[in-house]
Amino acid sequence: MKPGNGLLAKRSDLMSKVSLFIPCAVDAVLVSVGESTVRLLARLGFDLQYHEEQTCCGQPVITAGHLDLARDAACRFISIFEEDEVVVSPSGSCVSTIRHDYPRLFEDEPEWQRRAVELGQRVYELSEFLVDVAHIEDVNAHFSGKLAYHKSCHLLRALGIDHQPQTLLKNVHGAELVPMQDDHVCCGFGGQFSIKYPYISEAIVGDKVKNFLASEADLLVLSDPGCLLNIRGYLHRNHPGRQVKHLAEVLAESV
Amino acid sequence: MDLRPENFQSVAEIEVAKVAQRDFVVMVAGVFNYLCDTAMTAYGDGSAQDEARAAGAQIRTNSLNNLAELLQEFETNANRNGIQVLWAADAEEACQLVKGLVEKHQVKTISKGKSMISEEIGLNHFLEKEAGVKIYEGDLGEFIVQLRGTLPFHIVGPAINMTVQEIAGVLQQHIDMPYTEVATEIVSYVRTYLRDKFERADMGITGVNQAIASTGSLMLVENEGNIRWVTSAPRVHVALMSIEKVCANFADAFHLLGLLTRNCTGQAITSYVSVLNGPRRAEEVDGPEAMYVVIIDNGRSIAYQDPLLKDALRCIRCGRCGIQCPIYLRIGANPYGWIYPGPIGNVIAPVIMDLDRTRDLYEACTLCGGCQSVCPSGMSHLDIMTHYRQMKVKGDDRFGGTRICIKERSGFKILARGMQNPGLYKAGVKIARRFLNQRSQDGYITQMPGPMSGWFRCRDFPEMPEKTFRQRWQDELQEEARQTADRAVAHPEAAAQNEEG
Repeated sequence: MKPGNGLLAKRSDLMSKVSLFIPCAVDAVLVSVGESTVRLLARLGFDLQYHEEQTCCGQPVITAGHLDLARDAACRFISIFEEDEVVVSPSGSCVSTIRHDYPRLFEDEPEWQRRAVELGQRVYELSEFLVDVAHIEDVNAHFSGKLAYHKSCHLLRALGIDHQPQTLLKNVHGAELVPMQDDHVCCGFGGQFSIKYPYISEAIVGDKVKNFLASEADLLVLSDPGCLLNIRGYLHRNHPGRQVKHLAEVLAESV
Repeated sequence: MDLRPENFQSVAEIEVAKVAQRDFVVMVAGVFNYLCDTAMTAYGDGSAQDEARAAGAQIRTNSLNNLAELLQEFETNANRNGIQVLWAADAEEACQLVKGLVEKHQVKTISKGKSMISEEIGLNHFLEKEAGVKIYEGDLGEFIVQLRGTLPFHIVGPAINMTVQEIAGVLQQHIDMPYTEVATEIVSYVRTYLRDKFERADMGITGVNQAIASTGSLMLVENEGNIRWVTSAPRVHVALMSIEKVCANFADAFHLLGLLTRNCTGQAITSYVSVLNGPRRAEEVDGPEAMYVVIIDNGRSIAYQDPLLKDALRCIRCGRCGIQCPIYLRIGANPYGWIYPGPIGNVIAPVIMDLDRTRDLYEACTLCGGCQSVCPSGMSHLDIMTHYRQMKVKGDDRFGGTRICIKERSGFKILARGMQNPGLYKAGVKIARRFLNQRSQDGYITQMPGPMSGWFRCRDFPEMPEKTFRQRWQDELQEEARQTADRAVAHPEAAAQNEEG
């Protein structure tokens, strides 16, 4: 698809407004991912909105089994975002929490469940939004070299997002997307798992990085803050100089 | 090494350090995943395969929804075929029932086909001790594991982690095999050894892959021919099955068979599929004089009462989830401390053993979903494991789950309060930043004592920027974004040209 006039003209007024859901890990640690998301979407002409009262979606609390504690946070999240037409987040994992976990928190409260389901249908992961909703496949990004793509678990298996990020990467000017062994296998993060079972986590992320190095790509790309922290931290310790970046960071670099 | 689920952490730490085994198992899993994926293409493209799996899931749903009726129908028709059906509430009762049959038929030697349920109830150990019989496993992998006295590594490939040298060593030590690393010579030696025992067996014991309700038949699936032998040569055949193994009719059973073999060994069908319709009849030359089916509950009907845990009974034991699991492939079977390792164990062990003992099983999971993405029976592994975590948090009387301690809960309470209150959230970020960044060197934190130390075993953590995204947004990003977007919308061509350089 041609960038510029064509793609901007295709978007309806409705869709040009985008509300940002910036996960806590991005807000506090991976700020450049949030910044890149903003720069990318603004460059594409989207009218961005950011609710400053947002905090965390509650995923760590839900996966640890404290559903009762997550319920109030979910109500709050829904109240903040439910007026928005489109919510976009640079995290497949957090989007999956809203779309799949929230409705299950309200098994006994049909009204809240309805609100959760309706919001879940309008919360998109970044690449999913660009390709499926805005129909943008080339964002005029540039990178000189080979890229490998890690298919984050929640993105791939919870949300079924696979071709979207790869399409965007294939269209990065100057870049070549190369295959990587076991690209669909978990990186060993798993939130609390990485701290509670560090030796298992180490074995899994070690294999992931081994496959990345064997792919001979210059850069590993993924679209989930959790995997990014895990793999980046492992690379920094064991293979200094080797790079992993979030999809938004790659796409924000324009020609 | 004391292999119990309670010792998961310590055993896993030992096992994960066996790098050669780890790499070998990951490689073998890659081969089997490829074979299974290829075999599944018989159904057509990706969506046709999804449909095939969905049909399998629907068959399992129907079986579970009508479980009591189907089991009764099976019993009636099995009786009509001359098969006696016995019911066991738990492992102890099942073992006693089989012991009763051993005594009744004056059995000295037992030959066995590979059966997970017999392992689950600890039948071999019980019979050798309590009934004084000799038992020989007929499945080659299971036989090797039996000799070595370890847990099966995988439910379908019990010795798949062992090198040919290790296998040759075990056989040399236990059954006097002249040492050889030639696979055909090994198989040939074991075959001769086992056939001698099998010829003398008075009783054959097997599991059941599917019990077909409409005809009272048993379906058994294998590649080595040992089950065919065990079910036809000895005087008595005893088949053990857990309550969920029943299937309405042959049409359903054959669809599940196709999914089972394709996801198990990547075969369109196994070398042998036996359908047994009762003991030897007057005009027949083969087959046992007497045939029994022992239907075992062992905690399953309690899980069956719970709408979500009922799902744990869907499993058809193909073992595909195991070769998808990044954790199981790195630590092997031993840490799970029981006969069902990997995702199957994570789902089944807690309802049979209890939530406290098996805590590490449902917590040592990244929730990657690899298991459920390939499951041919529609199991929602992640929902079940999250449910166990929730039951553990709240405490659960049915499955022996003690509520988690206040200390552990309080961390999540603080987190939840921070999610509710932006002021608290911001304060929390500030404290975390000060705490982390004071240890930072060149932009990364490389170690830290206390509960977070696990992270730093193999990786660093980036220091937290002085400004959060939210502050950056307020200070400059919001204004920048507005101007950039305005330019892009007002002058799309210029913007595009500009971007195209």
